[in-house]
Amino acid sequence: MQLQRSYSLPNCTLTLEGMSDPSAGPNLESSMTILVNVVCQFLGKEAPLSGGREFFTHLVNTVSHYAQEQLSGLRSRVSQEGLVRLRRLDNGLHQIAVYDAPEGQPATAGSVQTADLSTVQLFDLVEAIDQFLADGTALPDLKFSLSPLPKREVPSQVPVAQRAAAPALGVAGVAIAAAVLFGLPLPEINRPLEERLEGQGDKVEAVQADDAAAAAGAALESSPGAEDGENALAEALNPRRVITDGETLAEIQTRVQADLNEAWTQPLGVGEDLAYRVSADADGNIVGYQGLSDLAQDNADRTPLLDLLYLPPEGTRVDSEALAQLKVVFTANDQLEVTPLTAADLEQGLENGPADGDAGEPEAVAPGETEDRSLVQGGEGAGRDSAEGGSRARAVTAAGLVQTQPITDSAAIAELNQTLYRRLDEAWVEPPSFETALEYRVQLSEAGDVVGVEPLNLAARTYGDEIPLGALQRAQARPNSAAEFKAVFKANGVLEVSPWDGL
Amino acid sequence: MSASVSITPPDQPAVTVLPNAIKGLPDIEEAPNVCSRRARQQIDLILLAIEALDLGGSEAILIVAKELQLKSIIKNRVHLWRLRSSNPLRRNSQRRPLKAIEAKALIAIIGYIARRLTVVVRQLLLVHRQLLEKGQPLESHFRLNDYLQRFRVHFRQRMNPRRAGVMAYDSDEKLNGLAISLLEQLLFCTGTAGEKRLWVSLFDGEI
Repeated sequence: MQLQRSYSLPNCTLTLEGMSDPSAGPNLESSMTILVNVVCQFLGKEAPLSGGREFFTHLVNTVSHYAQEQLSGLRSRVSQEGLVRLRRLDNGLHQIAVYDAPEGQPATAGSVQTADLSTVQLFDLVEAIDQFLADGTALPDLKFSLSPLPKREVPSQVPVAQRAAAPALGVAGVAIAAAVLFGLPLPEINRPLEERLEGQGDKVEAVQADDAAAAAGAALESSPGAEDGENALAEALNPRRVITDGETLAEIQTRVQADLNEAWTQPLGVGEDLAYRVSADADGNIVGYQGLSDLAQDNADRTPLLDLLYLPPEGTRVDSEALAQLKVVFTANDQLEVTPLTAADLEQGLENGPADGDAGEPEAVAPGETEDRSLVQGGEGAGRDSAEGGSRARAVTAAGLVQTQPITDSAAIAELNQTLYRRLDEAWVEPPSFETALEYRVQLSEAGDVVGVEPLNLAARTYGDEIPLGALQRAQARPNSAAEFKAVFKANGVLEVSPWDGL
Repeated sequence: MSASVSITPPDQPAVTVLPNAIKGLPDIEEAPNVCSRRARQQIDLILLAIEALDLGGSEAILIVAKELQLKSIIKNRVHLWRLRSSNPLRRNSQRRPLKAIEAKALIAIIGYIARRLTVVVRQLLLVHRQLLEKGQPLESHFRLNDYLQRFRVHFRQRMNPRRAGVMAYDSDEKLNGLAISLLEQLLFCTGTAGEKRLWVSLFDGEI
């Protein structure tokens, strides 16, 4: 049975022609279940839009979604796809486009029927479709449910170019910054030991190197440019000429000790003694150092040796004419000992420390022998070396002190005590800025001159500047005998001087 | 004889039976119970357009609320003002959320009044289209000009000029454009499924 449904509105008339399904049973009001043709006629437009079921389905879908678009302002994809498309023109009109595509084939731009609708005309179309949807007797199986536009469709509102502008700007900024910073030079890493000691000439082979030194040199850490560095270090540690003059050596020793004292402000934190073999030039600058044990080598950067290392300016070389070889020991109880180096040190590596042997043994070395002791290069009097090794057991050779015979006369000691006290008291005028007591071991010659000073604790090394001991000290030829005293500068301004060995 | 004391649960919330006007508006499952900023804005602006169309617009809203038995949701004039002031663009914007049921009530009122104003809305839109096509200024038509002017005045009076959303409409032309687009939305509200369409469109992009 042929049926017709018509929804007419002022501007639009929607006419459905179809049939009812005969198998649905006899009903007085039959529903149109089969659609034959639909015609959509707009007032004022000559050509109506018409089509079959597929066209109508698309029409309903698109128009409905488009109406939602007009209400919310958010575009959806549906109205741009399919056989029927709607879009808003710049002049406020709505353009409907109907693609005439055969069944099953995608819509092409071949045959398309377009019409421009005003908002009122569009609304009439929407209303007609809404009335159709509300009509239960027309195509009841064609349903359309209104649902909101999902969030994922919304971001496409802003065109991609505009959205991509911000991140593109960010990436461009990073790229520009990277390019600019790329032009900055890399900071150079100054490797002090190997690379910085400039070539001391090509005559490495001519340098006398005993086996121990070569072995020690081989134990160096490898580094880039290690060959040159090693050669330079080897030359520094085994100079062609070694300073052997006793006085010069003593001065160099004093200089080195003073510098190390100043630079050594923090405890090492290593539980054992660290012994180093240090080469110093005639001015007292440290030009090379090397640990005498693995532990010393590993912890070399905790010591102030690196800070004091003398780096010659580019192009010049360390004056290797004459260097002094010293042994520097940073003891576990924060004491510093600088002594001339012996072959025994090299052979044994780390010595057990100068506290070996009898503390009370008097120094049995005559001044004339001091010169010989400063020699390193191999094979010079092994017998004497061993004797020296034994006789150096006392800590008399510790830093800052001179090796002399002790004064044994108690009366003389008492008098020197007073002298020292008076001297120090007069000289010490600054109020103390330190909080712990500074302890020193002071050597006085018979004449009452200060010939040796050794700081005993870390505070003494740190605040040594305030103490007038350095000024009082006079470098001179070793006195024949000297007495040792312990001077304590207390934080409350009290000075105490007492003989080292007791009365 | 035993005395039995039965403790009944406290009364259900105020609206147990939905007014008929709202029944047609379905609850959106995934949507939260409060409306988005855009929704609050849109409802308030459409009500503003209604007031600009009709001199008795403000009163009409309250009267219709009573007619549709929405008094339980929109209690009185002040409450209506507070609901509308949840629009973030307002000068005295109330920091209160707009509940779904309150929005539904307002939309029902909008639909009802819009249908009553169908003729006016259609006429103004037709006039607008004609003036555009002929290139004549919008002030030529008395009624349209009246509507546009009233809309501009109300908008500037009530909206906070420091808001970015308000600064986008700083000129008369832009406000006119907004007024016309609101008129179009009002036209869609006059349809058979007008309220439903408006209600669902409030959640576009929210879920």
